[in-house]
Amino acid sequence: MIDVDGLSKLYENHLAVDAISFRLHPGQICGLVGPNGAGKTTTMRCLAGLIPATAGEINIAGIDVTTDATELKRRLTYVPDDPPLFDDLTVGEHLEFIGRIYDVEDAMTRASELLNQFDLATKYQAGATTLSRGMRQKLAVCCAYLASPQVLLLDEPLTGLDPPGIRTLLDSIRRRAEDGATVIISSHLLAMIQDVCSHLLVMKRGEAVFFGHKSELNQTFGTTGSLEEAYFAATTGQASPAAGAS
Amino acid sequence: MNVAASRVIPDHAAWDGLNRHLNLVRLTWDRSSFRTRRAIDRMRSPRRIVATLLSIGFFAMHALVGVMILSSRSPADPDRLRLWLSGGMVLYAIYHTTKCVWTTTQSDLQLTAAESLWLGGGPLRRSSLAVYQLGDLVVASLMKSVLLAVVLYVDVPHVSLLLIAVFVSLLMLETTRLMVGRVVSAFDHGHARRLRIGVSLIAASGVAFVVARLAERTPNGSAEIVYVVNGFRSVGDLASLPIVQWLSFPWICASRLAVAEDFGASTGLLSAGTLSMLPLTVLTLVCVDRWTVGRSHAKEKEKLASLRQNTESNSTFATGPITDSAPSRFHQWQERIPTCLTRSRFIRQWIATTGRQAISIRRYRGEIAVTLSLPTLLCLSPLASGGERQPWFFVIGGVAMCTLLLAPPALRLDFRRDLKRMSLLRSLPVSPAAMVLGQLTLPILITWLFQATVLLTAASVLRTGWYQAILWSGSLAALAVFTFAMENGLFLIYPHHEKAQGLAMMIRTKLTFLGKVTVLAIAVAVMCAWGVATKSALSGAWQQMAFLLGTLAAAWGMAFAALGLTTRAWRRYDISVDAPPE
Repeated sequence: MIDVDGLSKLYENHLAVDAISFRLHPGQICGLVGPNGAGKTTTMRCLAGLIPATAGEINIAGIDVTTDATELKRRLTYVPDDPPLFDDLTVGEHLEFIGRIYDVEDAMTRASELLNQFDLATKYQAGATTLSRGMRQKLAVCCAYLASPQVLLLDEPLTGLDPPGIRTLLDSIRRRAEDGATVIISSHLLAMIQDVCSHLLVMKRGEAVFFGHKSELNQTFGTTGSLEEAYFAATTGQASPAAGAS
Repeated sequence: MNVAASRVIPDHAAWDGLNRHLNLVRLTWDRSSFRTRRAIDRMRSPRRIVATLLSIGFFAMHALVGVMILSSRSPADPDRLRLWLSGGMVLYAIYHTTKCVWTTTQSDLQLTAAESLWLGGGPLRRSSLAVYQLGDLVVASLMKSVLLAVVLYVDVPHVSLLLIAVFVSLLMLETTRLMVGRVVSAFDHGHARRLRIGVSLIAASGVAFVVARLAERTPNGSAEIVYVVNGFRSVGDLASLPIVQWLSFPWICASRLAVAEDFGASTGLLSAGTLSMLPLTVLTLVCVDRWTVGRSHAKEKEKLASLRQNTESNSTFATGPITDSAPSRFHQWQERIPTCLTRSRFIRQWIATTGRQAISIRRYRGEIAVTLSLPTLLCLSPLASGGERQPWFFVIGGVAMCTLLLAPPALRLDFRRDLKRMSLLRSLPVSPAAMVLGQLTLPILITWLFQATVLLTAASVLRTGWYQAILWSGSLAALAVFTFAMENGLFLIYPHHEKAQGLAMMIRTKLTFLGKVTVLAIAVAVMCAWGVATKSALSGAWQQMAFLLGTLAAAWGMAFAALGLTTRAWRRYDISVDAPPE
């Protein structure tokens, strides 16, 4: 589970995240949405322990980030937008390395299954530099899945994926959650994620303007339509252009 | 979910288990193997065959020089060598610290983006990252040690001890470099400014010592070579100063080991002392890193508290990005350019590309001023030596060397810092010539400013006359254009990352240095030959005029040819093939 209380992050003189709080339980999938610069990626990077939060408490899978960040990272994996890969490793070597540092038993069998699932099996010996944007994204997701994390943070994971890749990824996220993982998925593709998410965290200028079950979103903002309509209401105070037109 | 709770290491432990370090060693091995395979493929490719042949030639020449020439020279005084080794490391550390305090961005343990994500985000402690980063430097340090051993083997009784000593010393130096970077990153603006002033004063006093010692031991009007030899001796004197030797205590054992006479008990102790410095340095790096992380976090917390307090007492707390719609200074300046100039599309493209560079120059103006002020003083130092004509030629030589060797790394504000933006630059509707000129204009202008400052000062002090001033300022200005054009041309043909290190970069630096020195030597030889030719054919003012015009025409011809080469290299640059891996 993820328990965040009063998380704030300051960059120089810019408060990127301002005292956000939320709690997610195992099996829940939270869509993290908001306009550009809302603080989504910063929130994810703080949760992943990549950057320290300036204030607030973060507890992931029973581990406090300030007391044992290393153990926290063992229970969590983070896939950023356009994930950087080692330019001097092959696809197979990436997975071998992740298997080793996360102490994954029978890593290569599982790696092979994941590569098949994401249609990368033929690229096992290929260098990371030879992969397309979508393949890099898939490889990063395979690395994240290989570690079998209790918490999975995916930042814009659908960008660059082909339609079968998007379907495979969304299905796999659902299955991971059913197996007990807590997932946060950040995306601007609202229509794509609205079916897979159970919860939503809407951010605007560093603040959480909504957190709760997705069914509560329309109720909170007085909308009746899609996630997109509620999103516009939450972030701009207006109905979406599409809803307005209809 | 499968989490190995039994393998949880208590948080108070600063170190990961041995297995984790072995995992990282394996990662380094896999990456090195991949790089080696790729390097061999690249070396054999037709595009890089010239660079490959030059590298092989360099290695062959280095070995040949080592065996044939250096072995025949008389060995250096062991005490002097010892002081050089230990004190030299401190001088290099001071140089690096000075550079570091004037650099605005410090990277986190010099990790790449992939390392930051997969290692920084993985279940690894910071200490493991620090050790891993040092492991990456082992091969480069080893190769540097071997190259240095070739030069120094005649000076020491046992080359194996020299190798161990130099290797450990270099690795400790690299660790110190990482430490300095981490410490500097923990300071806020106020402290950083004070640190900058303090470190610069230390560096300046070192330079002042060398200049004073050089002036003291070199009689007025001495031959050029005397100045060079005495310059090295003066640096040696600085390295031998008690204060420098005190500071060099981590390298004391290594420097003594390098010149050890036999394999007795004392050498055994020295070896143990030398080798034990490595884990101690790593431990210090880990402690420094931990302190840095803690201090940065505390600083951030204080700032947030202060901002919140101000918000409560003042107005609302702006969390969004601060936007400034006021036109930039460059934009205001651009508005003042006469319309007749901006009618040409080429000039408009040139000005626009230069404008982007101007923003960077403005941002780094402090670093640039500091980096160029030292060469300015050094170039002017021969004026203090007296004599009639020789100081002028020393000044000219100094300006030429600084233009060739110091200006390009100091003013890396051209294509060389744009590797990650090459796709964007290629996509701009700017002609190749305008792009090249736009990228090079400001670095060249700054170099011209440096040259003009030195030459005008020297010419007015020495009263050399207008002929000398025009001849040399014109030739050296062309040299600046040639240097920056060639640096960028070479970069576009064989690109590398801005912070790339390792053996390939070392060989590249040495080859480029040799190439530049050769160019300078050929230029001087051609000028001499031209002087003799004009003297035999003409006399008086005609000879002077022919010499001046011929020299300037040749120098600017070379400069424009180099610009043409760079433009061609930019036109041929292929982002799908030429972009080097990280």
